[in-house]
Amino acid sequence: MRTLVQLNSAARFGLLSESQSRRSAAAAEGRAILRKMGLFLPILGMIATFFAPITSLAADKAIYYWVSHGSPTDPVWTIFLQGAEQWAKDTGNDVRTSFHSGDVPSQQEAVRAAISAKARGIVTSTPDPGSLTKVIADAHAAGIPVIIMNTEDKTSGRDAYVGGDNVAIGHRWAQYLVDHNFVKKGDFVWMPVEVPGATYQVLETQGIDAVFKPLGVTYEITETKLDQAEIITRMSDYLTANHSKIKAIIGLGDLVTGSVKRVFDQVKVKAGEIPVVGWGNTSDTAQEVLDGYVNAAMWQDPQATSYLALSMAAMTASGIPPGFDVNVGTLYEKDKAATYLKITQGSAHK
Amino acid sequence: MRDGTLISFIQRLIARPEFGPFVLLIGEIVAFTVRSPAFLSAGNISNSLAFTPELGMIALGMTLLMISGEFDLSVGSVFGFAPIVMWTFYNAHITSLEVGFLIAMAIAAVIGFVNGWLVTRLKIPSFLVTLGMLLVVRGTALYITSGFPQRTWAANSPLMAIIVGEFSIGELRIHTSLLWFILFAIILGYVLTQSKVGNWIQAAGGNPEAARARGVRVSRTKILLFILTAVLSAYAGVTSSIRVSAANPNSGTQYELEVIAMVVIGGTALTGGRGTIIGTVIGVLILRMMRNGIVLIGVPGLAYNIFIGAIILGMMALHSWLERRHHAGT
Amino acid sequence: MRGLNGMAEELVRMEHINKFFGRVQALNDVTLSVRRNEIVGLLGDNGAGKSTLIKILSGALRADSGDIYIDGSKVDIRNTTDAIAQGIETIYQDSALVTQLSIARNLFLGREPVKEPRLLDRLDQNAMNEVARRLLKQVGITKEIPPTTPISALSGGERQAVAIARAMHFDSDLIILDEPTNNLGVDETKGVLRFVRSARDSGHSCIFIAHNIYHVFQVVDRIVVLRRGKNVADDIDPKQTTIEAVESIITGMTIVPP
Repeated sequence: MRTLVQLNSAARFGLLSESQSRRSAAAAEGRAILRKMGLFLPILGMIATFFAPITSLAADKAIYYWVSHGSPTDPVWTIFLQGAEQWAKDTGNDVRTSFHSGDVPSQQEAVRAAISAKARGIVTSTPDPGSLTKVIADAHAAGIPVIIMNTEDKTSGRDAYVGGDNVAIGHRWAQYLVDHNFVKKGDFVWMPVEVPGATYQVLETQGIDAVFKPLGVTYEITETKLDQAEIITRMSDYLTANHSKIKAIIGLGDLVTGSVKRVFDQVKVKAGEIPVVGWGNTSDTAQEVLDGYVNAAMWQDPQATSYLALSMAAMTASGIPPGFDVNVGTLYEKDKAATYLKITQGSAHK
Repeated sequence: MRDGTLISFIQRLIARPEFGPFVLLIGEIVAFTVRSPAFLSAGNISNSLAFTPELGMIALGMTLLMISGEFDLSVGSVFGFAPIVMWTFYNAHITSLEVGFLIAMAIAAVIGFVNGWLVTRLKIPSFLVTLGMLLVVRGTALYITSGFPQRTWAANSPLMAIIVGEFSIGELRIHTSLLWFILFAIILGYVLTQSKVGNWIQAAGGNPEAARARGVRVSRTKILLFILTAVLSAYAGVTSSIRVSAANPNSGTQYELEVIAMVVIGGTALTGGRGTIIGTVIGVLILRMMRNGIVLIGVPGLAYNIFIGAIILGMMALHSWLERRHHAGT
Repeated sequence: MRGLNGMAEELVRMEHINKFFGRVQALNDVTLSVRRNEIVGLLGDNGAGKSTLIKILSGALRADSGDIYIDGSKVDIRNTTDAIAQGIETIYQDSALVTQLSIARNLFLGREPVKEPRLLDRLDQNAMNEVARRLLKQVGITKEIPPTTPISALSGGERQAVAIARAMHFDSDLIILDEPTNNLGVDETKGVLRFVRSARDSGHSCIFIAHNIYHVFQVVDRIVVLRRGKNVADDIDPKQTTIEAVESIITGMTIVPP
């Protein structure tokens, strides 16, 4: 039996008869078809097996969607996710999670997918003020409650909010610095943040401004982006350039506050030389509080936020109207830091 | 020559380069629907087709550009920058929305021209030129907005309905952006396969020296393609900003990679000279439905990217394997 | 200098051509002329300047000094487009074909015919394919190769044939073949040489550059030899000389008969 290549060559050089050429060409095409099909089957198989352990075919499990605007590489969101997974385990419900890294169209699409899948409830966080209003209206039209977690949007039409009040948190930070005499009139405060313009930064700044403006304290917000290495580089550069004029630092996000020790060490600033407050949801920050690099850090109860948000969604879906928001947030100092260090290091395990 | 024109039709169909991606698309739809019938519900199809045209339009321009042998990594930045320009002008009451739109398109054309000029005149690889442009444009967007998103929901202009108005066909909610996408795809597909320029585009990518030797104006063609890609990206960005009611300076981040993946999955060669619009459309649908389906059926949020990456790699392997078989037989 | 066809008109004349690459003088006061309906063989060892000379004629390079006359009038060839406009076509070793495109598309690349309705310059693909089919037969490709076949499916000789067909079809007065048989097998080489002769017979002139003197002797009307950038012979009739004699002119070493 001649091989395919031999048949092809033979055909080209006119060494086969017409009908032989036709048959060999047809056979070659048939083999090509089979080969193409043959390669697709394993790909489809791969897809299918991936799906099997993930979704259950039991129709009566209630489905909830947990849609985060954050990045999957963000360590804080990982703890939020833990809360959602714990809830799923405790209640036996199906919780489908996704991260969207700030891409608004992608997140809206995910919420709409949840609506199409007839979810029982949706929990999501706001990427930009006003960006969820329409999809929440769509969800309500389909009878699905939407609870916003972590980043609030008051005018979005959400059923309830579970999370920190970022304005109040900003206020508490600024007030802490004032109460402890770390800043006074005319001082300058540095406020690094991962993504300037995002909801959390806008609200925190509002609260901070309410305290600082009347006192005549100035501040600057600088961008660090979301990549750890880049954050350290950018913060070190800024600190080096502005060391003398910075009287205090407020870390407006978790990644920046958690980078303070590394930045201080790189720029040769001693722990405690410049007072620091900010977010404290990571083990990095908790350790920094213990070691004296950060004076006070805000724990936003990430597991509880996810857990309670999902419970509120379930409660609302069952017809119990949620007439209240749940505000979380604990400002911890050195004495309590060990607890939070344990949680963030994952030792608070069953 | 062959008896049974139906058989020969099917054989020709299978021999087409778009057949592979097409089968993958069907397989993907089947797999998702089996796991969750809601995937093919009217609501979800409407949902899937809402975001698709935006990335799809960029992919159309990118296809022609890649066939001619060049890349444009700045499309994501232009996607985010154009609506910022338009809405900034509008919100500051400097111009009407329509004029702001035209200004945004004009600026995008200039960006495309600069890209093309730097690549063809100074002979800097397009990868590097557009990477630099990506940073410049994104930085400009962040700078002029100080990082704050522009408000978009206070506007009310007929332009918005033309670009991305919503209407219903039965239970499906369609946006006019889908119609624009289909129109652009038809036009560009025609240009690629039926016009003189299309021949030049493929020649420019396949053997630019040969094309020049025959008198084809390769540089001019490439510059036009860079302009086309930038304008399509800007138009897509404006469409998105109206539809999602958000003009965020960070919009469009990393879209360039997703678009290139779509184009390559659809069968366009990374090295240029080969590619089809139909293939790109299929590639767009494959990736978009993949993202939509994964969220719908509940793949764990953290495993998401593994999945997307695996599909892209798998598709690339399939393409290159089919390439080698195709060449081995000739 | 009176040539063989003393009455035939001069098609191309290159005079006093000088070309430097840095400090190296590649061409030194070189003259080359080609008459109508004439095949000129341009011979010389490596580095003699053959390629450089014809690159100047085909617009790929510019001379540092010297003039080019076509049909008696002085012309300025600044790039390949100018050369093509003057009726000069060059066939390179790699045929300047786009491998991903079909035969028809390659034939008409840069000069595609359009048809109504002229939406965005719509290609007249039927016309292209028709002409392509005819040309393929003319250049001696007897197999049934559809004009829509991509070039990648053709052998080296077939590709050269397509390139030559292209040059002939577009009525170029002068076809320059730069070592066209280098990568070809025996049969394919015969095809190319046959083809070059038929090109001359149908009204085109050719300049044929090769290393292989045997090939040159089979087709050319006149031999020109360059050595180290200078003219050493202009008027050799292959019918009245031997290969050994020409070889010695090329290398500059005379072979003293024993």
